[in-house]
Amino acid sequence: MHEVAQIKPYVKVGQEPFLEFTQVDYVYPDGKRALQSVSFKLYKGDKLAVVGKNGAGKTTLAKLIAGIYRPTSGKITYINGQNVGMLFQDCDDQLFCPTIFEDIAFGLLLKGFSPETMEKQVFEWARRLGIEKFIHREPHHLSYGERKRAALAAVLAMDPDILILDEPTVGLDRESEGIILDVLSNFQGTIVCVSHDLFFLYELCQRALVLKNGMVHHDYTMEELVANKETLRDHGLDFTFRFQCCAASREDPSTEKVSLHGANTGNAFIELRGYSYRYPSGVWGIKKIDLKIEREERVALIGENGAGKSTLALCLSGIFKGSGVYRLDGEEVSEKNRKKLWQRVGIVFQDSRDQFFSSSCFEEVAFGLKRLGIPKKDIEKRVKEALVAVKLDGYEERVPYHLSGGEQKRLALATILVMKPDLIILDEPTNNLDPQGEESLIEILNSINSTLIVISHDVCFLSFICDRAVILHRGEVVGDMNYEEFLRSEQESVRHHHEHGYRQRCCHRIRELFYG
Amino acid sequence: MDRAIMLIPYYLWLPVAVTLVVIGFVFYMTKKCRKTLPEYYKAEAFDVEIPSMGIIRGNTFIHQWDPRIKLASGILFSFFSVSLKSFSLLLLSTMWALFFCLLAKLPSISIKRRLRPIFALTTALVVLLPITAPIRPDSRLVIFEPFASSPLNYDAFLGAITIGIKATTVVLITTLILETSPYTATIMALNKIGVPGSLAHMLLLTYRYIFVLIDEAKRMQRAMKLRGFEAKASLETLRIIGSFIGTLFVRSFERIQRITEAMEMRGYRGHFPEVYPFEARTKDWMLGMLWLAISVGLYTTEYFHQVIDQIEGLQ
Repeated sequence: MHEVAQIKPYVKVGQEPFLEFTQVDYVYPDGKRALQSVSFKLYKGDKLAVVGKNGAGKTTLAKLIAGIYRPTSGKITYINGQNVGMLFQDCDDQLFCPTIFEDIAFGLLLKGFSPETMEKQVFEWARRLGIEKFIHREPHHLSYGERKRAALAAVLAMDPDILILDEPTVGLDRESEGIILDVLSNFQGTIVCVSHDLFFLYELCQRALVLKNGMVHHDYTMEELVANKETLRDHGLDFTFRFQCCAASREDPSTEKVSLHGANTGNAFIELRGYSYRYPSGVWGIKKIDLKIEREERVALIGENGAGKSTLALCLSGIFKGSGVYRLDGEEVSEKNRKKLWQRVGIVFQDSRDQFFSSSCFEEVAFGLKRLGIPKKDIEKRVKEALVAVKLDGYEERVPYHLSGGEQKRLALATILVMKPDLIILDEPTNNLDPQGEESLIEILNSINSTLIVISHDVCFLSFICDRAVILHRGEVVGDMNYEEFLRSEQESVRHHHEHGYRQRCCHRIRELFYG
Repeated sequence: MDRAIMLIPYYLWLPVAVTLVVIGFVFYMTKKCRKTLPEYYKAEAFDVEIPSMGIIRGNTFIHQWDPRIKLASGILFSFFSVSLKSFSLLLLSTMWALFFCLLAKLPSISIKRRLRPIFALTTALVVLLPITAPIRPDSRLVIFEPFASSPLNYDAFLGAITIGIKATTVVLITTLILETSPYTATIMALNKIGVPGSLAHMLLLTYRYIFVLIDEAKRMQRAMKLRGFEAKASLETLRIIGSFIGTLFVRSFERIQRITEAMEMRGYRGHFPEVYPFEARTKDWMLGMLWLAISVGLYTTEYFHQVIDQIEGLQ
């Protein structure tokens, strides 16, 4: 059993702290205690990572620093009344004006900037974050990565002394992630970053505050954190399984998985020929896609935000009806059987909460079975089996909305697994998962026999599951290869574009620290 | 009392009706096949049902017109237009609105998108009202040969057309106002001419978050469909839809909390900043006066026409 370590207070000699937490407690109005006796000091220029399992109290801590919440007891002291800015997890919460320009200008004008200075600042930050082309666009017309960058521009334009980031890399493609990391690396102020992405944190931060059950368990340097396997494991942060990924792809080509994919084998399970989908507005979602997927094959669908990955998934599931040939298990998907595709194809959505509309986990998992007309006694059995498979046994009566992020993701998977579909599509399955949750998801997915299509930007996570990579760009398939081959080409591209190669770099550095 | 009856022989109305149906069919099929949109729309429009209001293209004198005066002039003009009864004056007011839309070089697609529901409504009224409106002793009738037993109410037909024209004028004015100033500027102008601030802020946020809400609802709907949900006339369906709406409500409520937090973090303390400062110049006032003169002119002309008609009636 892991004990709370005697926390050595982090002190920067000769420097006044910027912000000080003294025995801070926070209890939500419903009585749930989120933080307990939290004490630490934050210094000017600190780059602090706040880590811990889902539900450890990280976001609550961030909101207390931001001044959104007031402590239930204890004291928070801002030494010089610091200016705090926060990048929220969901960028749509932060982009509340009709255009990006207005969003960035909002804070500046309220801060008292003149219209001329405001305009200069808006364009300057838009340029730094690579969104100047979209400055007069409406947020809902931008991709997720562009919106996230716009939200960060709106915060940074206000020149905060302390910048709080809540899961800044979730759902981002490599380009957006690279731009954000560049901008943050040059940020002179103090950063508090809440994330599960330890590679990103390692690159950005020097200090780590480890939370568990609302208490500070450790106040480490990042090096100390990543080198301490026991701490990592006890706090659900053990990401060492990822070492295999950067090691295998780099050094050991003999570990190649054999892909079942063969573009010209006759009896593909899924076959798309010249398949296109166009949104009602005229925008092409996917364009003339030729794709064959064998039964039980595991395909990674990779591409930048807005490349058409989710559109393709919705076409395969029969939600969208495109033009061209779509054959499933040798049978052409016609208008009539398209409506019955749900019995054979399941999607786990990016935001698990999109899938929940029942009051208990049991009801949620049983929903699809009832629609399939399964007898009641079999429903109970199958629901139980599905919950056990995703390690949620005993959760039958729990409310889906009250589960942690990782549990919600597993529940969403159970709602699909229980229907035993032939094809399972997972859209960004690692979003908001802590490393332990990721490892557990890998284990679950590897025990499934169905054909899998996994949409993700997490190349490393995909390497544990997939044996083939299909790369989409602007709605078209621009690459289709064995996953190992894809990883090698990634390594090549990293060598040519050093700015995006920090993940591999971090991985190697952390491995060295870890294994001494 | 003699009733005015217009008899239209079949050799006149039938070819016209067939031609209209053929043209309609050909137009529909061509549109379906082409389905093209201008380049700038392709890049940004996801939801064709909700026209985009955030992006302003063009820089004509109407675009530069102070939004407060433009809004006030537009509202007054719409008010006077809908109070007109004369068919010719109504058409004149529609022409005036259309003329300004052309002067503003508004893309025809955005006018068409906004007028589409009006045309649908007018078509429904034109078809239904002549059949369903009660026939009074002084009603004028139209008979399409050989359906003498089913006369149509000509006055109701004119009434339906009148509603359509009035609605078209108002929609054209609305399009002109919304598409020549940024949405925020228009809403702020609304606030300046007397609409309460809280209502104006709600309108601003509604426009932004209606898309987010629709997107969220669509994703949930897809997730339900993928687990076999099909709406039927049953209690089970009602229960599921109830849960769906409840969940959407909870999610929206949580989002509102987060938006409030985000706004407060960026300095919001009850009022939106003026991103587009207003400046009323002489030419803005002059343009406003011109619109006011046209509005009052149309109304006065009709008033004098009525007076002259009454005098002629007395003589």
